[in-house]
Amino acid sequence: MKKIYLLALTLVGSMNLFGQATSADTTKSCDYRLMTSLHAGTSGFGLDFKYNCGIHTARIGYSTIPFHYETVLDMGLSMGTDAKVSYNNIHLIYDIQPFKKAAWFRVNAGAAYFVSASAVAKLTPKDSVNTKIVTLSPDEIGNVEITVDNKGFAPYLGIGLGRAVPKKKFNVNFDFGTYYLPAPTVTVVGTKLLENNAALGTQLTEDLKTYRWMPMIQLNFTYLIK
Amino acid sequence: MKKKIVYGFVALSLIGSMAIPYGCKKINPSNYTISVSTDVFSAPTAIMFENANSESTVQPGNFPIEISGQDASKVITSLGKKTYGVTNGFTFLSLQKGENPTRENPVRFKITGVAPGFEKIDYDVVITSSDEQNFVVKLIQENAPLPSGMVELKKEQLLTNGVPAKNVTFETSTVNTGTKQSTKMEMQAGTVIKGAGDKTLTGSNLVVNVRYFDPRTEANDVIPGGLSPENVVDKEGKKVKVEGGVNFVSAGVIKVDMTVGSDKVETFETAVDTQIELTEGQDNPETGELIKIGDKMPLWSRSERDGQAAQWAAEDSALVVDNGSGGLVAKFKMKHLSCYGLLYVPQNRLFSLKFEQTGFVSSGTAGSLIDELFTGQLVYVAAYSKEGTVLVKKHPVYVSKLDSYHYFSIPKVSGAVFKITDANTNNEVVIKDINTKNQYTYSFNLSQFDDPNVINLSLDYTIKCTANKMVPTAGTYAIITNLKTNQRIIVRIDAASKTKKGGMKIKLVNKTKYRIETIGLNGEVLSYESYLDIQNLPPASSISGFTIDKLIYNPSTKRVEAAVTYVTPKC
Repeated sequence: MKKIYLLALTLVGSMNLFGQATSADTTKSCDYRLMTSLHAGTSGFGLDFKYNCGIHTARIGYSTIPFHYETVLDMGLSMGTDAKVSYNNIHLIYDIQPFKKAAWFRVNAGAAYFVSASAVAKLTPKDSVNTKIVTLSPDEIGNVEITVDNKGFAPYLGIGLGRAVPKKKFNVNFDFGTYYLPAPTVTVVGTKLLENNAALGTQLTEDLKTYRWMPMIQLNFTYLIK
Repeated sequence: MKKKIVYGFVALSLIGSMAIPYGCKKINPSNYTISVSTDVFSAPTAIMFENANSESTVQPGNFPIEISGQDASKVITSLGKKTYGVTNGFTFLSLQKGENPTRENPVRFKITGVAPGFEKIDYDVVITSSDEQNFVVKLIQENAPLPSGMVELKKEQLLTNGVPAKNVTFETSTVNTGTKQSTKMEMQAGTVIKGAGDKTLTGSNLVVNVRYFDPRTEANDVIPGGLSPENVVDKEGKKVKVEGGVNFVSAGVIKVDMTVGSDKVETFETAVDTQIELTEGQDNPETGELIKIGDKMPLWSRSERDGQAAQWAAEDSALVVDNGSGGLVAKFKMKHLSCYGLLYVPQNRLFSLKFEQTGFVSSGTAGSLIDELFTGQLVYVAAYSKEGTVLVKKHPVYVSKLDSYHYFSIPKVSGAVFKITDANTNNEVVIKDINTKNQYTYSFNLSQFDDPNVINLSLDYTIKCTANKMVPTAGTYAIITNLKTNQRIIVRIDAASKTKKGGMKIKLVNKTKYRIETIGLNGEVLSYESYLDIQNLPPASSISGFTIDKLIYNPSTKRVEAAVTYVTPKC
């Protein structure tokens, strides 16, 4: 949280500096605008508050992905998989319009703190295992819970298409970019006859260490408050 | 121009952001495997049946056994069956899924059976944990020299109208029997002899067999029913309860069998005066004080009535008197047959024995490597009183990991000695004085095993169907026989799953011929013999159903690394 606070101070401070520079250059100050927007995209859906001054816009908001799916995986055993994904972040992003005549184009930079960034999959055997000596039912075999956790601070870089500030009260714009998440840690906890699978967590942590990019394609509905 | 730059930047950003997920190594769940432990049975138990006479080369072979007793229903074979048998002197048992025996709530059962050429087996098994268990059952070979420390009298006595016409004495010899103690019984003239159902026997010939079991020898191993019996009652017939079960400490046991014609003798109308000579320096193991004239010693009898479970029952105590030549005897009245023992029942004390290997540490090897280099060692642990009375007979312990604890329930006596023997060489490697009253944890240094001739062997063992598919198996055992010394050891082979190979780690002696036997999925005996020479290992090949995929010596780890596949015929 301390990092977010520092980032917010830096971004707001830099926006003020830009504002002052613009003011010095043009001898007139910009109009400050306050907006709110609902967004939906690959990082989930949520709400932002935006603060604009000329070509500079800062937004702070919250996004969430509650996601649940079921599937069957073949991992030596046929495993029924019940996965729950939970990504929740508080983000602070700075937009700048780099080209004076292209108000529809923005460059964004910022960061988010992922309060939670986890995928928890509970794997349960679909079939019995016959050891030639005894047949083990899925209930006797137990289950395995695999947790992938990327929680933490993640910088963001991207572009925006569409005006930052609505010409009237509403507008729609898009963001394309990516978060760079902390390296995931994977833990595997098994029950009953699946207790000895902790090493799989180490293996998955190693194999997933490059899985840190979280692409964001997002649609924003913005309302101009004042 | 600016527009073109903007459009180009947009296009690149879009392509870049879409391409990011595909830039990473693709994760495919089928590349990962979930390992299922197929060691589902509790307390995998290996029981070795061995000739009690260590000088003999004749060993028990194949024969059926029966499991009875209070927890018999919980016992299955390692193949999950309820038909029990011994193969090449071994049987492998387990407890049913979900059984979790403890010291407070042990699983007890009895093994009975007859191995061809050996006397009847009657062995009580007590399992106090769900860990791996090993037991050695010693058998007495028929028509062959008796085990050391055991002496026998065989005598026939004429009866007149079913009774001895005069006082008769039955006394075991101390000449050339390996024991200095004698046992004497004096039957008075006119003693009425009774059989089953209190029937008076009227035959003319009494056949007598008396056996004495010296408490300071391995004769203790063949005391009927063992010294950790399941069924023990006091004088009122109430079950004797001792934490961890009864562990008798013997000061001498006799077994007396008599027959008249085809009838077994069970009782005498007039008690038979009996005396058991005590070993020199015999002490009371509970107090540590020497036994002296006038002392009373606890006496127990064990009845083996047809159709009834054998039971040790408390009797009136035996009185210690002078034997007339400077020694001591314990005298008592024998009212029935067949076993009598001067047996103490001290409270037990649970000991933890910690096995360490400091040899690797002193040579500068990193500590974490110690366990890696230590591939396991079978040892026998025994405990004796200071005077030599057996407190815990030789018990096999597989030390699979250094710094591991192994627990023993040992009678709480005044002082004792642990002796640890290397199962590979039969050499006594550690002797340690113990204080069973105040100290309960002892550490043992196994650096003695760091012998250059002793090498590590790690074996991956896989069973496959003909379709080349791994078969999940429960853990099983290998019986490894050193063909030079005929010493046999049992090694646990870990379970294999569809995705995890089973295997074992063990130490063997270089330049020695070994036979390795194990049991296949269909109960078949799989056998392999090979001369082990690390400088001249045989090439990988196929032998009697086994495919040796790998057999190399790795000098950096001082280890022979082997991988063997067995293709099971019925899959």
